[in-house]
Amino acid sequence: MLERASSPLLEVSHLARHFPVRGFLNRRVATLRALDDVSFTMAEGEVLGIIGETGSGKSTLGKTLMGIHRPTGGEVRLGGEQIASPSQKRAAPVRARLQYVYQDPGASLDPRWTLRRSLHEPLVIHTNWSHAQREAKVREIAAAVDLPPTHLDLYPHEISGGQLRRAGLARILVLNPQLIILDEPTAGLDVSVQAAILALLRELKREFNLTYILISHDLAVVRSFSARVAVMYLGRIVEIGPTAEVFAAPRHPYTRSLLAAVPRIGGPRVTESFLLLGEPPDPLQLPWGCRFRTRCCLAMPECAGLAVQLEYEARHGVACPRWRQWDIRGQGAPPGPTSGPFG
Amino acid sequence: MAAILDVGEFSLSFRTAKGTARVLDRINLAVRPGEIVGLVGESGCGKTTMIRAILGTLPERVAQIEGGHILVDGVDMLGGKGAQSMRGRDVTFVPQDPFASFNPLFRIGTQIRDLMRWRAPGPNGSRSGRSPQIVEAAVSAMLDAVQLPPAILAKYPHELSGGQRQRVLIAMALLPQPRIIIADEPTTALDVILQAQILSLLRRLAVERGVSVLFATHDLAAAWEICDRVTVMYAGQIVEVGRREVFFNKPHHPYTRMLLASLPEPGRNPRVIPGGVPNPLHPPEGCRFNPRCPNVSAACTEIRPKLSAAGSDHLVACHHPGASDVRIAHA
Amino acid sequence: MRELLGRFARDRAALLGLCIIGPLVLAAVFAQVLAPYPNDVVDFHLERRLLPPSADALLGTDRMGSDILSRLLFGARTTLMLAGVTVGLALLIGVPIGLVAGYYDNRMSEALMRIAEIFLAVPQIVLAIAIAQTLGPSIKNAILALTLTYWPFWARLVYAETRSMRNEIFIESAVALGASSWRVVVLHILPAIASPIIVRTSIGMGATILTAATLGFLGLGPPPTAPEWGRMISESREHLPEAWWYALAPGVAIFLTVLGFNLVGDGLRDILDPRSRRGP
Repeated sequence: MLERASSPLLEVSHLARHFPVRGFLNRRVATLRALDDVSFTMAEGEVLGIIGETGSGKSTLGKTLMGIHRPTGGEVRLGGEQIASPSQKRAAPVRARLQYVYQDPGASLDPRWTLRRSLHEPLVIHTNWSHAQREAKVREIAAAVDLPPTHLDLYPHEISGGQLRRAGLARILVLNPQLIILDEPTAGLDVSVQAAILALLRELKREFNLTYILISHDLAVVRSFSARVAVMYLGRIVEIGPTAEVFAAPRHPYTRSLLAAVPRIGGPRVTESFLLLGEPPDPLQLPWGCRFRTRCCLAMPECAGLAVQLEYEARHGVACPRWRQWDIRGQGAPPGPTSGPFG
Repeated sequence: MAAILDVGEFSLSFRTAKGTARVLDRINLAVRPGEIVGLVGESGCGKTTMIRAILGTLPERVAQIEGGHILVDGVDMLGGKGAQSMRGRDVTFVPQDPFASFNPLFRIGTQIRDLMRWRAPGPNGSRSGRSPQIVEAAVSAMLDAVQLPPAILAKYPHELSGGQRQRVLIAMALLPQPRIIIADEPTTALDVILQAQILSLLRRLAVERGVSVLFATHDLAAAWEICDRVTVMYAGQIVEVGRREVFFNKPHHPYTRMLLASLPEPGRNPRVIPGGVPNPLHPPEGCRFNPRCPNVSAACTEIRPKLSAAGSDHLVACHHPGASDVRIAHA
Repeated sequence: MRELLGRFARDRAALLGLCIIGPLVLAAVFAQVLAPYPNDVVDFHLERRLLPPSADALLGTDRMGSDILSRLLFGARTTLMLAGVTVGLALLIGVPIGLVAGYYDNRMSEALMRIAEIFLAVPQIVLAIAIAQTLGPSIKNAILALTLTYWPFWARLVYAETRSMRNEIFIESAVALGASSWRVVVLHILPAIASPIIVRTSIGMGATILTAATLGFLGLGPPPTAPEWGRMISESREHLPEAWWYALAPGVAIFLTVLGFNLVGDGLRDILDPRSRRGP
């Protein structure tokens, strides 16, 4: 791992984003706490996977980091400079170093613009380069993502889905970003296409020395792609640590349930032993204290009163005061690391 | 054992403005009583078209059946007299999108009772003489089986969560006491934990009641989880059929092997299958996988390989099958 | 672009509409040349009152003995000018307001839309009567009245379209890229919602012509001497049914013009907005 003792690339501290829920006459009737007290740091060159179910706040986290949502609390620093806080109105110039890739990067292109114009746009916004300078950069990046130069004069509907995805990535890369947030880059894709996208992302990371935040509900993708992983549940990080450690010996009861629910080819049928019942509670009426306690098998009365903080042991943090009381090698433990598909 | 669902040499084309697309090419597919069979393939391989052919929901204006048969419990589903009465009774459907399957204006209870009125069998399996009490008892027993509270009947579809809607759809598919349930990607839109819950529910109920399931999915792990046997489709052809363990441990067809290798696994980068899915308007001659196959030979580009035995209860359509040549996944 | 023109040419109804509007515009521009008696706009010849159509006066004469065809041609000028200026002004006011209100989600956009709704609640004719009563009937005042009541339609249309555009991924990603609001609105959103605006412009022209004719009919439009279709119909009422040609000519003109603009509008919608296109 590349992590050094030097200052981290990204520092997120106590980040929160609440959405007002409005009722009759625009009165605020409730607050959706989509993101609450999220803190973590990332070193340059790292890949941090963020996993969680729908409604866990992982997409809100990405969009708040990105500045699409303004945080309700906390702050985000990139390379030591503040890029998002509740009071920050204007985007700092450093924002160009942080970019966001949509689930379908191709959909981020204006359907009425040629690829060339779309690829020029970020440079028009962030630099005062001449057209020739921009064109040189666009061609360089297009070559890096294997987009034929002849395609630059085409419109998005005229090229294939795979090439569209490359064009969408190229549009981000012309700005020389350091940190890229990938929001569900493989959702809804067939496995063979998914493999191609992951290979491309891996290659670009090496070529441009990128740092990735990978937001995904696909645990297998996160596991194979990222070195560190954060597990979110109802707006909070419940566990964060090196991927291998978290997957092999999850500490938070929610992480255990989540991992236990993933079917593994070659493994036993998880549906025969899987026990977590029910669905997450109404996000407008979150439980006090630990938000997982309504479904947790370790829950105790005091879980309702605790202000649950991430508690670190080396680089592995868990937001559960009782995790040590769960016998990792005991009966309820999830199966160990998988054997391969042909195990 | 006679198969519940028997598809034999079934071919189908779509007439499009640009020509005739041969979407299904001599499909052979069998589901035995009480068996859960996976129909696995990538988008565009024809699995949804196959399902629509069984359910009789093909777009009439463009679909052209070129040959073959589809039998459910011995009844011809391609326009025979019995087909219409089979659908919704002996053959039921669990769709991918649980929200689009409900009428948003009616309560869940109303929609279930409507279904019972038209489709459910009465006492002793007869189709008549159902009293409201029997209907209510059947509905509440079914809700219990899918782990939903009776209060759900009074709710509107939008008031249910995604998992609850999928449970209701499973209940509605089981209520007519079908012989076979056709499920089209029923868990694709769901999160991991919900998927586990729904898959386990579907499997448990199907096994308990001896109902067969044809489970179409592009998710190989989900297929592993729920199926007894797996059938792989590629570009409108069946390439491999086998018991789940054999299929995942000793796949014979190069496409199956490459598909499994393209899955992300810890400690190994997923392998990309070179090339793309062929254009159905101009599929390659012979084996349709030949442009992307590492083992391609002259025969592959000319002669369509027959689905032939590769082991016990294991069929493969390949001129050069072999489990041992390249372990692509670990290469 | 060529493809769009081709599609338009295949749309028979739209082509018919264009065949109506095209000559109409020409007639309005060249009224001075085309009119057999250009001076009849102001002159009157009481000895030739209410003559039926003949070789001399193709559409007959009116109660002042003026040639109806000539007045009709000059009336096209008045009508098109009135409708064009009204719709243009309404666009100029309504589109920016709709864009701003739709793009931002704050108190200001809320306030703008409430103001638009207040104007929508005022009946066009009533406001026009009030303005004509206080400021006197004139083309300028008719335009003022129509514009005041018409811009909210644009504001609402553009507001709704902008709102739905704002959720498009390519718009959100332009914001994420750091594009200024001005850039997003003018370069991305406005071109994307141009087609419904164009379509509504054509249909709106038809509607405005109809309303303008109503104002003329009520005597709230241009002053009595100016040729105006609505006023011509109004004048003809006293001479019906004997002088049938008197009402027929302006009536048919209004009918055809409104029809023409509506047909073109429908045609534009079909070619610009594939979602609403009818089956093949």
